[in-house]
Amino acid sequence: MSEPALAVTDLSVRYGAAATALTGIDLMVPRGEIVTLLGPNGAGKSTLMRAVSGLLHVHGGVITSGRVELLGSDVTSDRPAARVRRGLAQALEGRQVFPDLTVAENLAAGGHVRRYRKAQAREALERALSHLPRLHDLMDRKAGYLSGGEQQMLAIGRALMSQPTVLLLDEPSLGLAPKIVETVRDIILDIRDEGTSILLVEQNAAMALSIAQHGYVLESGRIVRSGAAADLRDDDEIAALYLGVSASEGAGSHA
Amino acid sequence: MTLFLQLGFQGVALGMVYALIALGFVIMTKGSNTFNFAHGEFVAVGAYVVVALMPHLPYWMAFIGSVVVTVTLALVAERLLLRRLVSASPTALILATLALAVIVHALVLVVWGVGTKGSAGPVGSGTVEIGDVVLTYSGIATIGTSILVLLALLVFFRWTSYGLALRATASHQEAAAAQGIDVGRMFALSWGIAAALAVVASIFLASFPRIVSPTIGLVALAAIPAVVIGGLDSFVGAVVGGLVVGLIQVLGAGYLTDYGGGRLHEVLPYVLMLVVLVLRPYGLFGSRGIERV
Ligand SMILES: Nc1ncnc2c1ncn2[C@@H]1O[C@H](COP(=O)(O)OP(=O)(O)OP(=O)(O)O)[C@@H](O)[C@H]1O
Ligand SMILES: [Mg+2]
Repeated sequence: MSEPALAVTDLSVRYGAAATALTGIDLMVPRGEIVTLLGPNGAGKSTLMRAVSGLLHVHGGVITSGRVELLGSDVTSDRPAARVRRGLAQALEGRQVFPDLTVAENLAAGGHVRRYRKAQAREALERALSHLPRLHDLMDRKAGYLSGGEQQMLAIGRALMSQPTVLLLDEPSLGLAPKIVETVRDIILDIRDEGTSILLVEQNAAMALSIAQHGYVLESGRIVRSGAAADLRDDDEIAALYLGVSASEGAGSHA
Repeated sequence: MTLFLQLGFQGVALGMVYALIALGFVIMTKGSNTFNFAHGEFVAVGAYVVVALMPHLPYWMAFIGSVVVTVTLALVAERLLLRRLVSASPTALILATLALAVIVHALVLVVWGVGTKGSAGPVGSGTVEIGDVVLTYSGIATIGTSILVLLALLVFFRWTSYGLALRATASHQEAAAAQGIDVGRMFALSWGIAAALAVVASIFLASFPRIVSPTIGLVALAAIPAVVIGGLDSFVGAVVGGLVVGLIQVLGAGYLTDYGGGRLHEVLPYVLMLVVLVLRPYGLFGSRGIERV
């Protein structure tokens, strides 16, 4: 039980023939903690998420070296479904709900991989909804018609349906009003308190560093800083680069 | 009035056949992002295998045998084409399915020759009369069976885990993969279901008229206007589009025999398809986003 929830070792990733997106990444998420990954647009944060979840190939990316270990097992070449079965779940960048499915169906699809019986499915749903009470009243609504904040909650709820041990969140505060960001932040803490380990990618460094134990800073595909969240928060350089701008400006346009 | 009811009945029966084929197109398009032009030839294979097995086996076993053969063919094609060409452009994929259509058509000719065969239908040529309207057994069987198949599909897509996973994959492929849904398996599932529907459609398509000939694959392509009219991504649209095309063809054949050498009805669905494409490119029931496909 002492292995970390997630360990990435010397990971390098390339898109297509030329573009190297990640170089020699070492990163670790201890059990039951929130670790945040910060960095500017195009640093490679989502690429790292894809390498961990096995979705690189969807974007034409490949791992050229290194290892991804989930709960002590090497999953570097496992398919996404195998990783989810092992306890990994994620909310993708930009929410990516199933727009023409209802909220209830979105959530059920999140549990598909577990082959739940009826009672188990209900239990998983209740557990997910306990973190996201807002979704209760929206169950029959088509996900495409939800607001940004509601879609983000749905994306998180859908990920929780497989009852993950490790949860990846890619910019959950993206494009949300400060009030909703606060709600999302509380939801993340709430999920962590239940024992789930979380890797949180954020451009909103102030929010992320306020709830994480550890942080990594990624720039141009390399880790340039890492340490206790409290130290990063107090670091002048980081404050100048991330805390001043990103806290107020929030999300830019995304590809 | 009698003639209208008579033609209407036949039109609905033919429309149901088109609906089943159109549903196959829609399920493959949604489930695997590929419009499969070889689907018409899957219908042909379905009919020919039933005809080939009928003399040796009870009818239902011939039907099951054909489902097994046709679904296997579809799964092999899906694996060879789609999985190999995942990174190819959509246009390249569609052209590949066109090549597949030509190959399967040629295979049918090689195995079964160019001549026509007897009916592949499950019922004889008897009729029932209601008032002055004559209902053929094959028409009744077509409508009845199609309704059962549609209900089964509805149950599958609404209330089963795999049906939901398939719809999720159709809705957002990467998000589905992120939930641990095996997207490749969903591609295969969509082609398998479409092929099974093709066999059901084929045994009834061979009742209009009651022969199986090599052109059956082309006849089945009349489901394409049905798909476009209904909307490329809509199950309901496929059924309504199928009925519209079936009715237009049969009513057109009945009432327009004196015009255009009596073949005007064959063109009408395609004219309507073009009109729909111009006025409402996403079809009567489709979602607007589908214009991209
Ligand atoms: N499919 C792709 N093909 C080629 N290059 C890509 C692809 N996806 C991302 N990249 C490149 O890889 C680098 C890292 O991109 P990534 O999306 O991981 O950054 P990010 O840190 O998540 O940025 P953002 O904050 O904007 O989400 C960028 O230079 C990007 O242009
Ligand atoms: Mg990103």
